[in-house]
Amino acid sequence: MTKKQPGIVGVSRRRLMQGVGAASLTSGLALPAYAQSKPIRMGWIAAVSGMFASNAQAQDWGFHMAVADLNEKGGLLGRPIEIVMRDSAADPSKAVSFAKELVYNESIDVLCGPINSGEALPTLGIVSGAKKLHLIGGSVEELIDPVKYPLGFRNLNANGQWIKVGVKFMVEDLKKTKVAIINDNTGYGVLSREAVTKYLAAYNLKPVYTATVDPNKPDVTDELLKAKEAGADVITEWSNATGFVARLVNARGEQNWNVPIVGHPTILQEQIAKLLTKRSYWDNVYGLGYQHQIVDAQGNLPTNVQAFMDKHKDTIGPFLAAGLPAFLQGHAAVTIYAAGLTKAGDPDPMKVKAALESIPVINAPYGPFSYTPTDHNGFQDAGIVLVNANAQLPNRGYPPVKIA
Amino acid sequence: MLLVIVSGLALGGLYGMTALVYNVMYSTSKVLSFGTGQFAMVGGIVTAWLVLDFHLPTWLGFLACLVSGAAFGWLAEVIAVRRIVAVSDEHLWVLSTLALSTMVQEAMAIWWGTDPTPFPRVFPQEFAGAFDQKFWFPLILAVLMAVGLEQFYRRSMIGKLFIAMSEDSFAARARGVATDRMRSLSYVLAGMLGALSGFAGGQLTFADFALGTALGLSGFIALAVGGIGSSLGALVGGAVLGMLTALTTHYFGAEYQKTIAIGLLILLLVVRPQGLFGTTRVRQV
Repeated sequence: MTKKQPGIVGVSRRRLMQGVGAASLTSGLALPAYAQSKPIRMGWIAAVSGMFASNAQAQDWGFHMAVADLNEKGGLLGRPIEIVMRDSAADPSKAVSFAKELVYNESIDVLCGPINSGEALPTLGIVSGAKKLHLIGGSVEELIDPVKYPLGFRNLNANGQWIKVGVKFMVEDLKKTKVAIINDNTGYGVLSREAVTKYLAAYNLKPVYTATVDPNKPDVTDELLKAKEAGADVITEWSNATGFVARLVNARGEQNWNVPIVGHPTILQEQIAKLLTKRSYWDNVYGLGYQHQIVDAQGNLPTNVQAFMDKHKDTIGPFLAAGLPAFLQGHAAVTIYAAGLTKAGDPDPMKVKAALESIPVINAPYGPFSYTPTDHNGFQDAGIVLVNANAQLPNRGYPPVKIA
Repeated sequence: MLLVIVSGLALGGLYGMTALVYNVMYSTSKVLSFGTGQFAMVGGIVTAWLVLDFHLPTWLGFLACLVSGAAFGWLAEVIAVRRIVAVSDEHLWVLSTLALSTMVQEAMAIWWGTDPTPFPRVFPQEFAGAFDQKFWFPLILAVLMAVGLEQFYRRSMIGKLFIAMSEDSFAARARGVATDRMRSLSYVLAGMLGALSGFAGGQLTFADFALGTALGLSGFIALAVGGIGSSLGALVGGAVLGMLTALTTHYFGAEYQKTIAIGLLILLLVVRPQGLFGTTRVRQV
C-alpha cells in the first residue's frame, strides 16, 4: 500500500488539475481588483535607538500618527497605508542594509528616511538605483541633487537655509555689519562657518572675527574678548553643544557686552537657560526656529499644528520634550508623499515625482514645501523664523503651551 | 588681559589637579589610568545631583562628592588594575582602564543624560569678573592639593610607604609593606582628589558626562610637561598648559590653540624628555 501525500488525500489527478485551472482563472481575473486594494507600503528608516534616539522617537511618533490619520480617512487612493519600519540605531551601515532590504525585498512604494544626514548619504545611490521615491530627512546640502538622484526629495529645511535666514536677520533686521563667527570644531561647525562667510559675502561683508573652538573647552572668555577687541557688533554661533553655547552666552553676560547673539536652534533650548548664571543673560539672544512653533495672542499654534496636537494629546506627552520640529518632520514625510500620490493618482515613482514638482505649495504642519524639476529642497524660507530666546509667550511660542 | 590670564590659570589649575591624581596612582602601581578624568566627572555630577535635585546643602554635596570619588577609585583598582598588574608585566592596564573609563562614561550618559547641567555656586557671590570664584576656586584648590600631597608624602607614614613603593615596589614588599593594600589606598585617595577637582571646576565645566575624557587628556599633558612623580611639576605643567591655551587664543586665534599649545609641549619634551621637574632614571648595568 502506497502512502498518500498529505493534502491530496482522496483527490483524483483530474479533480486536482481542474481545481488548479479554476484557481488560476479566478486569481487572474481578480488581479486588477487586488492591485487597487493592496496597501500602499511606506518604508521608514529611523534611528529610534542610539545617540539620536529621543529626536528620532518623536519623528517616528509623528510619522505613525500621520499615517494613522490618513488610514482613518480611508488611506490613499482608497488603499490602506502600511508602514515597513526599520531601526537603524544611528549606524550608517545598518541604514544601508535596511535601505537595500526595503527597496529590493519589501516592495515598498516610497522610502522615508534615514532621518539624519550621516545615515542618509550612503543610502542615496541604493534608493536611486532601485528607482524608488525617496523622502530624505537630512539637512546637509549634498543630499539633494535632482540630476544624480531624481527621485530624492527633502522633507525638512536645508542647513544652508537656516544660515541664509540668520545672516539676513543680522544684516537687514538688526542692521549689524561687524559679524563675529564662533563655531565648534565639529564638521558641522566648520561647514556652518564657511556658509556664514559665503552669505555675508553676498552683502559685501567679511566677518571681523572667527573662532573655531573645542566645544569641551571649559571657558570661552578669551574668544569672546577677542571678538570684542575686533569690534564685533553681533556674534553668530554655530554649535549644537549646549555646554559650549551656554558658556558663550554666560561669557557675554559677564562682560556686560550686550551685542546680539544669533545662532543655531540649540541656543533656544531651556537647557541653555538652566546653565546660565543669570536668566537675563538670555536677553538679546536669537535662535533659528520655525513658523510652526509660534503661537498667536491666544496661545494657539498654527491651526494645522494645533489640530494635530489636540487630536493626539493622549499620546503626545513623551515626545513634547524633543520639540515640535522633531515630530512634525516625521509627519511631513507622510504629508508630502500623500500630496504627491493623491495628485499623481498612481504610486508609480516617476508619476509621483512629476506631481510633487508641479504642486505649487504643500502646506504641511512642519511648514510650506514647494518642489520644482530643478530644486528638490522644497522647504520655503518663509517657514523659518528668528526666535527671541528670552521673550515671554506668546511672541516666542516655544515650547508649545496649549493642548485642548 | 587680566581675565585672559586668570581664565588660563583656572584651566591650568584643573589640569594640574588631574596631573596630581595621575601621580598618586602612578606612585604605587606604575599605572597611568585612562579613567583619571572620570573621577572629576563623577564628582561633579554627584554634587550637582544632590545639591540641585535634592536641595541638600553644598557642604553635604561636597562630602558626597568625596565619598563617591573614593568609592570609584577603590572600584577602579579592584576591577581594572589589581588583577592586571598581578598577572602581566605588559601594559595591559591601558586596555583595562580605558574599558572601565568608557563604561563609566556611557553609564553616566544613560543615567544623567548627555546634556551638561548646572553646577551650584559654592559661595554666595555675584559674578565678580577676574575675581569670581569659578576662576580662583580651582586655582586655590590646585595649590592646596599640591602642598597637601607633598606634606602627606613627607610627613605621614602612609605617604612614605607610597614613596617607597614608587621607588621599588618589590623592595617595599620585601620589607613587609602590604603593597596591595597601599595600592588600593592610593586609588581611594586618587578618586577623592579627582572628585575634588570636579567639584572645584564644576562652575566652569558644568556637570557633564563628557568632561572626563577631555580632562584626562589635558591632565596627562600637564603631567608629561611637569614630569611624572613631581607634585610641583604637575602644578606647573597644568599652569603652563592652561596659559598656553589662553594666550594662543588671544594672540593667534582659537583655531590654533591646540596645535600651538601641544606643539610647544612636544618641543619641550624633545629638549627635556623627563619634563620640567622630573628626574632621569638611571639604569644600573
